[in-house]
Amino acid sequence: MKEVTLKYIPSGDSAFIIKAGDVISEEVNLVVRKLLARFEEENIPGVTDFIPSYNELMVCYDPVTVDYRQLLGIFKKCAADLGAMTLPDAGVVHVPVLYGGEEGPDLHYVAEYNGLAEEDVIRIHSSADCLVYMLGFTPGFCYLGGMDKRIATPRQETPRLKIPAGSVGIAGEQTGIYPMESPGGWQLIGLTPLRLFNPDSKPEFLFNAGDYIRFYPIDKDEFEQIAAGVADGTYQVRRTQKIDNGDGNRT
Amino acid sequence: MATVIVHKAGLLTMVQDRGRFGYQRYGMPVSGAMDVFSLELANLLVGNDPGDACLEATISGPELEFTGSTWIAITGAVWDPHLNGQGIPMNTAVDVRPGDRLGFRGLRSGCRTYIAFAGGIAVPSVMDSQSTYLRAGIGGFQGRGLIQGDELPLGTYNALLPGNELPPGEATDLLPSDGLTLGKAKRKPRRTKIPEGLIPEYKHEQTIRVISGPEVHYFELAGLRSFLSTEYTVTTKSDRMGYRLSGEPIKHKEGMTNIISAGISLGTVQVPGDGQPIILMADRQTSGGYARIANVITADFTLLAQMRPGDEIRFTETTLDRARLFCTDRHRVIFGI
Repeated sequence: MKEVTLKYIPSGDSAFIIKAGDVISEEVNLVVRKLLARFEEENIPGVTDFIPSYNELMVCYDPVTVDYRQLLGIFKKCAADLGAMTLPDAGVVHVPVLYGGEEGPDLHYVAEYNGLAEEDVIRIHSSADCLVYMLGFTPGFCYLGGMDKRIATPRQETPRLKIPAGSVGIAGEQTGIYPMESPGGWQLIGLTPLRLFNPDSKPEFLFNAGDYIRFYPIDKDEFEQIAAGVADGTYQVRRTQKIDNGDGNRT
Repeated sequence: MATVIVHKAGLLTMVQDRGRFGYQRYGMPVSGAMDVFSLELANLLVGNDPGDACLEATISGPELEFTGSTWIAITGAVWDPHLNGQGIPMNTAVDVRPGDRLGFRGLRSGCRTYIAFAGGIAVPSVMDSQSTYLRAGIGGFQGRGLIQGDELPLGTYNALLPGNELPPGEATDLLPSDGLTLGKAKRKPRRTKIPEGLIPEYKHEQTIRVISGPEVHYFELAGLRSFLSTEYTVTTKSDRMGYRLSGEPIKHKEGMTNIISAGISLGTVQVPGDGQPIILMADRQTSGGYARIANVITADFTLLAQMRPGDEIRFTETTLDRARLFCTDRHRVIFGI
């Protein structure tokens, strides 16, 4: 890994950010994830939360129990040996999607907009692995990279008031899944029976930053079957390992 | 187990503790009390741990009936609270008995009231916190604000510990709270009244101290001048998620409005393209894409959380070192009383 210059900037008296770069790239994001993994090993007292994003790691702390300068010292020391660090292989989470129909009312529009057949949109959407750069916006929402530009479609001009949880959509060059019922302007191409966020299960969230998502098409029967399994807790989400984690270190 | 029957809920009354930490990386907001200082004071008065769950009532007060004996304390927004029609003091531990009715009249200043109960509130912990997060419908009492007819279970407190004074009541209250994870009031409160000088004055105009933010260089000098030398009004579009302010637009440098979506911390001041600042509060989303001009310091949150729509804020800059001093000094004063 190349030597990266990290910038430490306070964000008030209860958080600071560590900036790994100024662009959205898998390389910069990998540094953020390495920082997170490294700091977590350390179990630093007074730290209350980490918020990894595309190019930054925010560290939240309790200003009563820890001093910023002390904390900074510990973090800088930990970050010094980052170059030698390799992350375990990234996980691929397989996400079943019922494309089109009532569940994906905008599939037709996305196809038409890009001069494709609906089947092409499904094939293209389910053939790339999308990196979870970060989670945010609402509980369990993933900011994904890696969608094929051939199916990019602008947002709807008038957002829908109610989009069901699990809806899979496209906004510009991004694809994403709605973790909770909410209003929104994404073009909806399908629905997954998986729950991205369940406060009553452990772990509560389906995805971690650094995971890859691989969508695959299912039919109505499979949808019902999986939905029933998700509801009674018997469905096992399929997870595999990605061979190349973007680190350049093939394992 | 003692409960509280809700006769009137008020505008928005819900269970909040210090907050839900450790899940922001998944996009889960912290939530928790808006005015953590008042929450801590209320808890200390009844012998709870400072971060335990209380009721947070916004703008209007609830009307509550107790089915058992316990101690309560009311902090935050300034009212004339009453028990069975008789005035009771704020910022003071008060013992209540079965059948007692608590009500509020005459809000004089502030916006948010905290009611602590000895032993806390016996609602389940969701992801390590009892805080209500309304948008996802989790935590607190059934994931929502209280409504008329609710019966809120209270935690029991260990009345047998030496020094714990007992309000006369049912014999069941004398049982130690064995095996309960809730009901953490294990000690006699250090003090049953908070000295008046410790309670800040909630005014309609406040000076709020900030530290410069990660994107302070995204703004024109004139924009920074507007931010630090003119007044901003808290608009009606303000809630637990954030305060939207209105005032002299804060000018960004050409094309420097948005950032790559990144973390937001408590008190982050974001400035979208229209130049009108937003202060991110307890239910803030975990990440955002607007330039972060500054950050409100922890010590001034108790003032900010008590502001209402129409109130005016003047921002003034301080340093990280001073911010920490303000914070630790106050902490020492509270826990030393």
